[in-house]
Amino acid sequence: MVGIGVVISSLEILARPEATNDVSWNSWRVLRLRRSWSAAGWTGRAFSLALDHPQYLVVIAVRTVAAAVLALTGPDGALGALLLWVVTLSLALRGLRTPYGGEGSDQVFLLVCGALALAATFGGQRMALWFIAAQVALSYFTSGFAKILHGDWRNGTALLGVMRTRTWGNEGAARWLDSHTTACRWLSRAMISAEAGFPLVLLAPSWMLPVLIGAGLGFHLIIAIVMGLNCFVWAFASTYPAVIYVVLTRP
Amino acid sequence: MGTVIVAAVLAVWFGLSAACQLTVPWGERPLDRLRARDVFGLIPNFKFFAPQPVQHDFHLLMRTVVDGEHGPWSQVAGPPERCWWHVVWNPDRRAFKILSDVMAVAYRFDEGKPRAVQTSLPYLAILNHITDAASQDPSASHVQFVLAISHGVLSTEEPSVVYKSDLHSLGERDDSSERNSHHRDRGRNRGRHLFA
Repeated sequence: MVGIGVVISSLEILARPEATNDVSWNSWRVLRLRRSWSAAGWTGRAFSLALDHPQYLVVIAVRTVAAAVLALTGPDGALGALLLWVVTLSLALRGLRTPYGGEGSDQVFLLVCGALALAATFGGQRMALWFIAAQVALSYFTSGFAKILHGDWRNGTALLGVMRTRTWGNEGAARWLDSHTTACRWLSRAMISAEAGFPLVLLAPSWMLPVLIGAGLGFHLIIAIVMGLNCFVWAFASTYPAVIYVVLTRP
Repeated sequence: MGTVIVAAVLAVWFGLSAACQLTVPWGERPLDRLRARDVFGLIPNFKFFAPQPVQHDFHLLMRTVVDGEHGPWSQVAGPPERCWWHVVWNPDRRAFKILSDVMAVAYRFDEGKPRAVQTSLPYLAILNHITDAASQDPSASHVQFVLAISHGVLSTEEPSVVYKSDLHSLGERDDSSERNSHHRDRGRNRGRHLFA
């Protein structure tokens, strides 16, 4: 699943080359000025080899191919380890290239591929799975808890506010929430409570797993439909096998 | 031995990830230094849309000056239209997210410190794009941009300007007959010379 997700997210970058070229607001020639060592000297020249335009698109294309092979063949063996490192390093280069435009899905892809690459190279697959499960529990808890602390999320106005935007929202959902304020409030409370309570899944009885994992997938699918955040589905779904592993093998 | 190394790396990675999700007055400065040194983005930020989500849309507009006259404002970038296939394929979201993040920083520009603003990374990033877009008009001598916000589909509130740039010269140009045929390339160079 992580392979499919990385393929989609990488193809999305390749589909809009004008968003990374030298005259875009995401130009490496500007962004490299963020740090002296990326702007000049041999380090600057070295990173420019991979991050300038159009070489950066080649890096993304290589990542796409590596992720596609991973999706088809799995992460096993020396080839699997190599491909995981290619994807991981390529995702890390994105972090170096720009502080802007990163998504939560990119972060999750990097955590998953990085942990799997380490395990495929040095061993410790079980630890990698525990790490991924712990990170995804941390991500849901952090997201939910940060919202619980804010009154606008508890009373639903933040949820409506996001839905009203053209960037992340949905006109139909916004109109419905605006005319059903009580439902909006309780929907917001249910969402942030479920997010904050996600770590409890790791303690849940194994027979509840299909329901809980199904609820998680449904949550991300709805977000993809309503908000257009399609890559989150693949990113978070790729962590669920680790969650299932932890629940089924915990002491 | 390899397993021990993996365990140590993953434990440190998770520990730093958890620490950096905290917002605590006594630990912000060390955490900020840590985040600043995370050049590869290995430490995640999991506060998706929290605590205070962006509840408006960003718009980037520009106008050129031709023969001393200001032209009309035109939108360079705004939120992309939502389509049903975005549930599986949404490249415009990713492209616009970059500009949204740039503008979210630019949103907090301190107009009392114009020099600091004009040498900031978001300003340069926007100016880089704007100068290229303005160069499509060979008769334009200057360009100016505006960052604006609108308030969503149900709002009756008028869009508002949050930052208006100074006029920026597009540079010297000659009147040779080659001007029109090469204006595109020269425009690119003008946009790039600041940063090359």
